Amino acid sequence: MKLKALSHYDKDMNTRFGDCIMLYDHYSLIMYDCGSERHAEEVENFLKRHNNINDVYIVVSHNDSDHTNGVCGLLEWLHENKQNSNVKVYTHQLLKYKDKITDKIGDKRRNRQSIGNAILEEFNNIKEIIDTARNFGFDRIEAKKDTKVGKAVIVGPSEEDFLEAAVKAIDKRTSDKVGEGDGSETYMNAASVQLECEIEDGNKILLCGDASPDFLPDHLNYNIIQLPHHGRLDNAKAIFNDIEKDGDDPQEKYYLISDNTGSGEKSGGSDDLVEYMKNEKYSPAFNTKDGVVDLPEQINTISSKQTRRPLGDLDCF
Amino acid sequence: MIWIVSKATSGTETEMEARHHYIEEVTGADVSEWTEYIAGSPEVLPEYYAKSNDGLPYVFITAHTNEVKDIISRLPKIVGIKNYKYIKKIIINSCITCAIWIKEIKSSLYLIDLNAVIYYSKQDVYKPNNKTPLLVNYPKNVGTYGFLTTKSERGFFRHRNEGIDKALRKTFMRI
Repeated sequence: MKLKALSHYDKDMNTRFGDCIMLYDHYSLIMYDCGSERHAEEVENFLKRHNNINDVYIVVSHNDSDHTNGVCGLLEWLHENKQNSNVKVYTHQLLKYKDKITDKIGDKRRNRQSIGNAILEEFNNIKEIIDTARNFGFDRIEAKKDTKVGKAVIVGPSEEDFLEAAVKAIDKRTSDKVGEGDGSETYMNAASVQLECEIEDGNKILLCGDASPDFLPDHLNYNIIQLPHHGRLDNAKAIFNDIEKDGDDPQEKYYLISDNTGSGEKSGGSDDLVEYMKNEKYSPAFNTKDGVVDLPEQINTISSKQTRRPLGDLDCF
Repeated sequence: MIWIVSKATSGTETEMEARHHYIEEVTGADVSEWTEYIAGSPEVLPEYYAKSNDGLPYVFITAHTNEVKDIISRLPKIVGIKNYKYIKKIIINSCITCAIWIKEIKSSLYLIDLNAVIYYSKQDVYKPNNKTPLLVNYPKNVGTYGFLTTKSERGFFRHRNEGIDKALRKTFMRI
């Protein structure tokens, strides 16, 4: 598979285009999130250019609009223009867990119906995507851990983690944040659907939306890691520390940042992380803020410049 | 701290400049220029060395395995005959290859009557076909250091703000 992570358009750094990461080969496309209609247009153009692709898998990491805003438009386009395609949508279908969520909340003033309504309200964007997919007759598949998505696989979160996220999002009696201070993350973000895929050069990538580092699988399995939440510094530092604690070298891995956050006051973004990585002598991450990211092409360019030589005299025996 | 780099591992002049900058950042101290001469003597050494003005009686050696013992034997010349016995720690950034090698390194310290703690860079295991596995240390072009670094050197840099001793304990192996 190849990876193409979409960027901003026409030098417009103010608009929040959100995330859209494509994994593709000759016959299939996996689209991980689609945060704007402009991204959807780009995916449509891509599919027009790649006529052989008939399997289209759409993974929605979580409910935030900068990950979902382009999905329904793309589904409509697929319905109208790719009628013979095999389209599948993968996301958490929380209504299926209404009973478990009701039990976990344990608030006797709320019944299944009111919890169901709260789920639909809190996860409104996902509801719209599922409804749209259903209307067009596309498959809607629960994004459970270990579910295969074409040549990729969902590696998290666990059912326990995403149910916890749903409970925290719906139960207003408790905080909906995981972590502390600047490093805190809403549970809804923390439990983003995570996808693993091997790209053409054999490197394995982990895509993780806005997931909290605590919710991620073992980093050692991956050569390329998407630094979550558009390159939030505290999340990235936690991942680097975890890699080192596991005995690996965080500087030997490649990192992807999907930062099309625009210029809004609370948009976040990767500037602090980019500065940190520069000061700590990390190789720069592949960052959509700098343009479309194409892998493995961009890795190959770096690898061709790298050398490796032993310091020791291996003939000592 | 004295930083010694064998000429066989030093790389280009630009890489040596980058290594100099690395030492400044790791120690937070001024670092003398690289030299290949023994102070007050025209004798040219097969290694470069520089001193970081951090007050630590440590020596950091980057060299091929077969060069390390020779460098240790020259420490009295490099550090000064009156000073070298005050060296408390020797950090060796090289391959271990085989367990017996550590004994030989310790013997080389004994030969110059130096009682110092030895730290070795972390090693990878290299398994040649049908032969005993070797412990090796690969310098790689990772990050933006500007010279080939080993895993321990990179870890040392990441932990530089915690103090040299703590960084050493975290990123090198005491043997």
